[in-house]
Amino acid sequence: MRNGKRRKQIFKALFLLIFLAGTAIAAKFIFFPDEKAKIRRTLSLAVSEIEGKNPSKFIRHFTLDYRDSFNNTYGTLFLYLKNNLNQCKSISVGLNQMEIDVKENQAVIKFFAAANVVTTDGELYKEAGRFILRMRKEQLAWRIYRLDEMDYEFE
Amino acid sequence: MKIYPDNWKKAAVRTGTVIILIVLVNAFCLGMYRTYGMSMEPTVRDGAVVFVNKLAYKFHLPQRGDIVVFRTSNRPYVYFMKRVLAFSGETVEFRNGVLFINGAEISEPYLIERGDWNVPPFVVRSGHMFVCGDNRVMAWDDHFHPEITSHTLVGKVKWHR
Repeated sequence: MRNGKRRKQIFKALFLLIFLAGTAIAAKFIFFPDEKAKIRRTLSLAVSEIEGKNPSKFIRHFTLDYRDSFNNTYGTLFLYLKNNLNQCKSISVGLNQMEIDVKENQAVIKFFAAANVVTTDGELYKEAGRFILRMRKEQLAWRIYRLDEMDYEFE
Repeated sequence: MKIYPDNWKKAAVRTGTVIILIVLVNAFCLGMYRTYGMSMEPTVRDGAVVFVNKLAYKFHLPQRGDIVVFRTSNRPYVYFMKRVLAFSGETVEFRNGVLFINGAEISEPYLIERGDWNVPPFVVRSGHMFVCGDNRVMAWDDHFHPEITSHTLVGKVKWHR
């Protein structure tokens, strides 16, 4: 009888310990995220804004000196999105295999991206590729300042 | 009605074994992929599920006409599916959609439409093989047709739907 009571108390204590540890870990990630988590969150927010066809919000994640391998600048990118996003019925973007390397206020992110775009005419466009994204921290926010497409290698 | 096992330990071991077996088979023997893109149409349609025999090229190289899955040699990895058309040192040419290897016309029974590609002769690099998609209606320039090494081969496409 006494053994049963003791076992129950041990189970209760163990359960409480696991619950507290889990809560502490979750709280750490929610309230004090590390830089990699912040970058992931920024990119996920950027993806949801482009999917929501909101160029004004999307462009906030870019620095004013932004450049990419498609010869875009901050201004041309914004104009391109503003003029073309309204011709899209739906956009879905997936970022996979993300590798983030953070050094002080700079970060290099490699990932594979796939996008499906359905135009208002009902045509489906699919694009996919590997990219290197360079971000830096400005006023506590991570912003994109360079995007390059990576070449495929098969050696 | 009884819906729980008599012996939980035995059931857990059995479930674990099955999961480990599935993971091992998927990692080393039979891979499953979903296609993205139209370069292999009409043979393999966009969004099709493809099963790949990963052991197929462990002991020998692919044969001409095999549909293979290969991946980039640097991360992040991207997987591609194409048909092997030519091997190291062979001269490839397309004349009005007809494939010529070393000057000889090659029959391609798997094609529904030949297209009208005109590609001047080029030699496949040493140690490489030339792969290409079946969608010849797409322009040559819109296709991605790399020369790959055997190190990047994942396996042979066995079944697709």
